[in-house]
Amino acid sequence: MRKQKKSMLILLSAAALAAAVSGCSSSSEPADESIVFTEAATEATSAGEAESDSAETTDPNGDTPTDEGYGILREASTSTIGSLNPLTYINSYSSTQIKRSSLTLYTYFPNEDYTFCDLSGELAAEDPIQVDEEGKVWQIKIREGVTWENGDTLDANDVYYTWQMMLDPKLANLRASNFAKDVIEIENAMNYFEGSCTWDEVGLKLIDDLTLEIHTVTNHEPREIMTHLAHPANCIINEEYFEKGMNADRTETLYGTSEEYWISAGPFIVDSWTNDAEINFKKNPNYIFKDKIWLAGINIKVVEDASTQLQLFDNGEIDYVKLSADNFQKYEEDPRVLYSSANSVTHITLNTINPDQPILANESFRRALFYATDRATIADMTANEPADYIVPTPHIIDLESGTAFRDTEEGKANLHENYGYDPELAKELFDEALAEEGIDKVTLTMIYNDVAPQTIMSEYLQQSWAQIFGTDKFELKLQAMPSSQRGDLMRSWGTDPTCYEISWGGWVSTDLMPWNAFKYWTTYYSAKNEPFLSEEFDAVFDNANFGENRFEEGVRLNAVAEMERMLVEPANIIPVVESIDKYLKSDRLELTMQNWANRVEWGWDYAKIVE
Amino acid sequence: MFRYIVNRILALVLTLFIIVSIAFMVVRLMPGSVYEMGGDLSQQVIDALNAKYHFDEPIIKQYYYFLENIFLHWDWGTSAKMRPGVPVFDILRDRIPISLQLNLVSLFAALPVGMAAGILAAIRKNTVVDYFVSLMVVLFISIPSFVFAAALQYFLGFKLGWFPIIYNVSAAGVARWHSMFLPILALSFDPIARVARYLRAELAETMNSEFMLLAKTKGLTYAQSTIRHGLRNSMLPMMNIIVPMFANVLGGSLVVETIFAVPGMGGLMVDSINASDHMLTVAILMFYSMISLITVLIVDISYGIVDPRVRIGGKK
Amino acid sequence: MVLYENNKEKYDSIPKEKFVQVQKDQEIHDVDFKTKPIGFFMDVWLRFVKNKASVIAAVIIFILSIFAIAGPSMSDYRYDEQHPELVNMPPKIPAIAKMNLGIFDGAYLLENRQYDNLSDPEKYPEGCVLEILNPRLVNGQRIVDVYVDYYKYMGLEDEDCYWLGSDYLGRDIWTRLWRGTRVSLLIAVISVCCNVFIGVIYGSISGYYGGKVDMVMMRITEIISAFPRIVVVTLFIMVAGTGMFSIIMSLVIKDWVDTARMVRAQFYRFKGREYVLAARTLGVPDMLLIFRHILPNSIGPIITSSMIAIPSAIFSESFLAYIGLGLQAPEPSLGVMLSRGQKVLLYFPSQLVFPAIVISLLMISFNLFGNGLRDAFDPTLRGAE
Repeated sequence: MRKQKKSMLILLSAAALAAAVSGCSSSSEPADESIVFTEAATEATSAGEAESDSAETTDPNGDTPTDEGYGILREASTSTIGSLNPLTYINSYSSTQIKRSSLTLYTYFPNEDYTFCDLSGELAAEDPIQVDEEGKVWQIKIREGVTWENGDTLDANDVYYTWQMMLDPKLANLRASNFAKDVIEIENAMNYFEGSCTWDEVGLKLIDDLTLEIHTVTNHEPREIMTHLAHPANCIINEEYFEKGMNADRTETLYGTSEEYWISAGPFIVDSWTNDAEINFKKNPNYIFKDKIWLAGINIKVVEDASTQLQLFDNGEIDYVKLSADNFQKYEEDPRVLYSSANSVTHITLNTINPDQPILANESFRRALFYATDRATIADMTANEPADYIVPTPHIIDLESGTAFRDTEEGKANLHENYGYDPELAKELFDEALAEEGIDKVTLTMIYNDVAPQTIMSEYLQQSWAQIFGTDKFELKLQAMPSSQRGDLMRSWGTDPTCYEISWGGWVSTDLMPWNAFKYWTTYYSAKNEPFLSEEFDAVFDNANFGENRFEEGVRLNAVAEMERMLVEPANIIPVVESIDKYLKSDRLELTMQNWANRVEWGWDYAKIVE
Repeated sequence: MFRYIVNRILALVLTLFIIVSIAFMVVRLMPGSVYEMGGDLSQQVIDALNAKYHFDEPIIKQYYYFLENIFLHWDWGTSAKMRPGVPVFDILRDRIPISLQLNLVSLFAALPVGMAAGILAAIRKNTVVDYFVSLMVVLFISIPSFVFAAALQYFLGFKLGWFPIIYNVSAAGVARWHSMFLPILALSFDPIARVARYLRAELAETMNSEFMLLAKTKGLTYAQSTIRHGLRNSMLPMMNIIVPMFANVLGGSLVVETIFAVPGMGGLMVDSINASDHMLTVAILMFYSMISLITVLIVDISYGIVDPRVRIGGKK
Repeated sequence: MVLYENNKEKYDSIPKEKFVQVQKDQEIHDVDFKTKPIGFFMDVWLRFVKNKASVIAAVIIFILSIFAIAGPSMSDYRYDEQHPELVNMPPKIPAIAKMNLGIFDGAYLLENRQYDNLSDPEKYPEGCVLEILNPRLVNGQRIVDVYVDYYKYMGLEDEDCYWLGSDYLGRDIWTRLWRGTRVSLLIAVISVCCNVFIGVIYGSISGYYGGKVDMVMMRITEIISAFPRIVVVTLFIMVAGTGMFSIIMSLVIKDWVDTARMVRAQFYRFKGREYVLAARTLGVPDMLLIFRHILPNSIGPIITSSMIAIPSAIFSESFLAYIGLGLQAPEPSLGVMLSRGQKVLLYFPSQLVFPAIVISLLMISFNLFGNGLRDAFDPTLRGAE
């Protein structure tokens, strides 16, 4: 039956093609009604428009997910999974995979109607319970009957062991910084890490097999505690396997570095794993929320080359692919493209204390650069959105109402006309700056990564800035370097102020707490890109994050608006574009998410395979 | 001869030591510290990590620790970023077999083809066959491998669908060999061209020597004399290029492996340098150096056996 | 005497007048050569021109070099002139476009377009649509592939054109291609010259003195050649910044070793020869022996190997660009253009094809030229058919 239909389709499309061609040769007018549009040979069945045709094919998934699930989601990734050890992983890609096969106390799920994310307990049975008056001591109840892949019980003892290992001074885990001052700060956690107190003094306690207790430095609300514990670095580790991989000195462990040293407990189980090449997950039939998972498994191949990935997608070998600026043109008008805002605004960072370039300390000059940046054109060339602001569009300021910061009055007040592009004003400011500094030519060197969007943006600015300011007065030199070296070079301004002049930056930040996303510019942040040191800024930040009155209406909103102004107005950093992630997904993959949502994004893990 | 070989091996060990030392210094002096990757690392953690791996101490002292670990425990350190916590040679161990397999197969496929082409071209010198072989050689050598590999992948893999687009790690048996075909093909162009070109040139040179003239005057045909007498004499110099080829099978090709998603040695070094994974970088450098040194040694020794004039010694 | 004794009668019967002294009054001298003497280089030249392939290769190199010098000024665009509104234009040469060959006509296949937009004159100006292919329904929307005259589609006049198309910043590929060729050739030639200079001196000393000197010097070359190029180059880029200088230096740092080895081998071959021994016994100083008596034997191999080193330097440059260690923007090189083209091979194949053609032509001709030179120089081939 289906076969017949297919051949009919082919016939039809051939006829249509012939019609189209003949129609074209007779007149160049495209609007020829003789063109027949047919469903493409692949059965397009998306739930929204399931009409008579697709209704025939019954959903192989059934009404509720089975223990085995149905269908394998096939992904390709450009980065490799270095390690599944949640205490030492390096890139965010690894953390996604760790989360897929481990449990955290709290996590983000799609909400009931699959339109937004919902932060709730995964291993934790309920929200944290406030024990003291102030909100500094919290108890967390653990679900009963949760097990590891091999059937061993997973309870509060495992969480407690995870915390102990996380802060272990001998192991000196990378992710121990998760317990440094961030959303919440645990009592004495970093002191223990540095070896200046004993484990008993740390504010992490085991009450019984199903209860844990946390002591924080400042008072919090439950949501903050949960946000903190939902971070992938808090994935629970398995004592048996962690110890199995431990070396004799107890300074390193092989946990999570290969199949042999890994045990799963999350929504998926690692089925097979070839390091740096391929990993296969299968559905965990004992997962607490197994009812949310439709997939039978996930197959991930490491494919570094972007055009190879697209060929795989076109060939039907992977189910979705991320489009880059290079290949987006082909899919510009394609209705299959999924657009999602990413959590980051790409900006230019300036080394304002560079003694070789005193002009960078000149506010008029920096503002000249700000107004000379044609964001609309850059966005057009890189298939992104222009941004003259720092808080990205999807960042939510008010969780209750789901209001994004950019939609508020305060957020809109920070926007500039024409995305802040004003060449005349720029030129004026530039001349002013030259006069103030008493020089007649500026030559700056920009360091950048030689990858698609940064190359285009840097090379474009090189020319357009020079055109606005005059080629005899301004020159931008470009120097490409690998990203990790560029990052380190930038961050060494503390020891070597001449390390860089200008470069690119962009922080991926917590989209549900925009006030926390400004931590990168506080004076005490350790990996600062630029020497922006302002006590006023710190004060606003501290108040929004740890202040007594931070839960009052409008306090955080105003603080976010103010911090953004403090950074953008004197052009301490120059925002340029906000990246828009674009995906193509195959027809065999049906998303359960109704739309892109913060944290869960397109919800690939919760999708269905329909075939 | 024995003394010569022992001398050379001692020299090799010394050279290797110098290389590892230089590599260590150079890698440590490269910008990009191991534990500041822009991530959310607090200063306490960075300090703790630097102290744990002695990055906060003077480089000479770090070098001392490095040598101490190697000589006392044969411990070359662990990777910091590519696969945190894994001993560096374990990473190499995972990667080498794949490159080895691909390269060996492609080399064994390429050698006979290349030699046949070279012999054919030499026998049919200055004929259409010769020109065709020369053209093929020149094309194979002239077009950059990333163009070649990408084109193979696009046309044979994607457009025609004859072969899988990428290398399939998990498949077994026929499917695996099927997916290996394109990378093997892409890898074999270079050795085919080199062998053919070298052999043709060598044969052409041998053909002009007196003993070949004698062979011809004795009544052997051109082809007979080439294959029976010329070829034998040309095989020895061939070692010059074939031995390095065999040594390189461990190395992997960055371009081909990237395009066909082969998890081999090819991209490892660039990745590890870019990631500032110092210990891993030193290990890879040492690995590549060893290959190249051993290759030189084998070529020299085999030459020394064949042609005593090349041995060390003989002042002025 | 035996001859005379045996034939006495026969000889005696010849009358005496018949015997005349041949050179009684004449001077004795050799006959002048009718032809000019042929020197070493003339000999090489004669053998070289016999090889047609090499001559053609030399001509191609010459033509490419002319283009590399004059090409960028043939078009109205500067190599770094950006047109952000005209990125990734397809190639169009008006004269060829008029011939309707289907190439260089500025046509481009826009895939996955909304059919409903086709009638919108804002998006598709009058007459830009050439052909509509592949109509289909995707997610309920009418989608087609449209073959358009991209220049009209972008709202350009007929005369406006990029001969070989434009790149991701709307820069003219023709101008960049030839400037890139120039840069690549410069990098190759300069680095090879430096290689030869260092390699010859080093190799001569090592080869001539032999023994311990040779041992030490060869170990040094081994150490150098054991270092993979990428490390050397990365370091150089860290120290000197991306750019021509660091690329050239990185190629020199490793590659002179090959020249040195070759020169050393040549010295080993010739230093034991009788004429060298003779010269040494006559008290010729070392330096003179090296440079006057032994080194000239190596001229052939040196020239040949540097000719073959040029394409491999071009190759290395393109490889460096591929892994992101290319030149400082906006300076183009063949490698920079190729690595960029490889990324967009599926969408704008012309951006890969043109630099690939030029680099292949360069490689082919340098290889053939090098082969021709080798055959011409190689004394073992002298007199061969």
